[in-house]
Amino acid sequence: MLADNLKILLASNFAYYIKAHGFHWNVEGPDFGELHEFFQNIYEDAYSAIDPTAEYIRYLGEYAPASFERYVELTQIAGQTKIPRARLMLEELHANNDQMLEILNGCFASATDENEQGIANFIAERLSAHGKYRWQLLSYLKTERA
Amino acid sequence: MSNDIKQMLERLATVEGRLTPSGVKHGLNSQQREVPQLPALFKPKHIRALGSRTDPAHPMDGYMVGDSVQSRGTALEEAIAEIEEDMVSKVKKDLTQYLDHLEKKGRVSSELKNKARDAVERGEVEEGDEVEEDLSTVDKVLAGAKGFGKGFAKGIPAVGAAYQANDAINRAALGDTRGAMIAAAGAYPPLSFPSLAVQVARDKHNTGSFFPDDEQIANAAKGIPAPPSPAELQAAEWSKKAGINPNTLLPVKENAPVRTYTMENGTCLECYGDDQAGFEIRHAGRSLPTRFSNLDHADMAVKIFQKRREANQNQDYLEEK
Repeated sequence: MLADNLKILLASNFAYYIKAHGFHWNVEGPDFGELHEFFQNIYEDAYSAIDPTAEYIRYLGEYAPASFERYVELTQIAGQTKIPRARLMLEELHANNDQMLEILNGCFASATDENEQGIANFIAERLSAHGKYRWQLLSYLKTERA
Repeated sequence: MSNDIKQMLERLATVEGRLTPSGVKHGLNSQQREVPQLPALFKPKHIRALGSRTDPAHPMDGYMVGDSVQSRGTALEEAIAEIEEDMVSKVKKDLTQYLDHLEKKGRVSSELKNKARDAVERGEVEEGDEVEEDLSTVDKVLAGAKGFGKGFAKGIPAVGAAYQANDAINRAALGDTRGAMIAAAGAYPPLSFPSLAVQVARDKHNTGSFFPDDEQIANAAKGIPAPPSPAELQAAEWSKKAGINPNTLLPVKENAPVRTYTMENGTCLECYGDDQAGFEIRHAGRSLPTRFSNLDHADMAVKIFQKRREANQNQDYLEEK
């Protein structure tokens, strides 16, 4: 159960990483520099989580999925084939970040149930990171005080 | 200035004063001879030139010196004349403002007509209700203003005068005494506007009230000829006699849009007008500011707007390919 959740987390995280990296490449507008760097922070952080997730899957005795076809099957993060406006990028990434938090919460519950404290600890760190990005994305999207 | 030049000028002034005393008429043309004129350097020896003009023995009384004119009237008459002149200018200004107001009202009337038409189409108001009456009043005022303006411009005051009479009656009935009085001023071609304005100014000077009370208005309205019925037909007849195109005097009657355009989001744009008055595009009953000389231009503008709107919507997501 935990391994299946980690496979979903791996595929979703990969999709999230690809999207953030694409936004980093294609963002345009007056806030280009700031958003370019912000998206870079997000994709680098997401990328850093891919390898440990796959290794925890292996640690649990399962093989890690390693193809786009499998990722498409497993992921809960929809891809973006077009180039959105900068604000739409932020909105989309914010929605995907919330999805990642849900997946991570599911993984944390499974890890706790299966008494895998090491994996639970790793998941808790990921929850913390995505929680921080949630705050930053929301702050970018807030217009009332701008 | 050296002393030599000064002495020369003094000698010249003396000679000029000797040569052109008040009685000298030779060397002048007939027009100059008619004007009693003193030498420019005339200086009375025994009476002060300033401060004693009421003295009948003043040698400058009744003579022109330089380009100034000595008044033959009393100081009181002069003051009254100044007040009258001032008031005439004020009345003229009021009339100009009133005509501008009518022009603006004419613009508003098209919006009112649109609203009324929409209300009738929705079944909220029946034909011939108060709204329709208001519209006919607005039409009459508009036609009166246009008729007056056109008639005045063409030198045919009768066309404008009759409409002004109609306007004056309407305004008196609505309680707009000020507007009625101004409209009445244009309703009497034999009575020139300045003389009427002077009379109004005198009334104000004497009574302290600029415009007459209701009774005076009612009396004035009695003397105004009855309005033609229907006004538009009468105006068209007069215009025909006067050689003026009636279409330029009458408000344009718009019943149905010439063309309608449906946007992608379901909203509807309507094109109103004709070749003579031009075309305009309306959205939800509101006229867009631009007018087009022909239907093709309006059609093209709507298509460009549609394309631009479509492009703006697609700006949210661009194709990567």
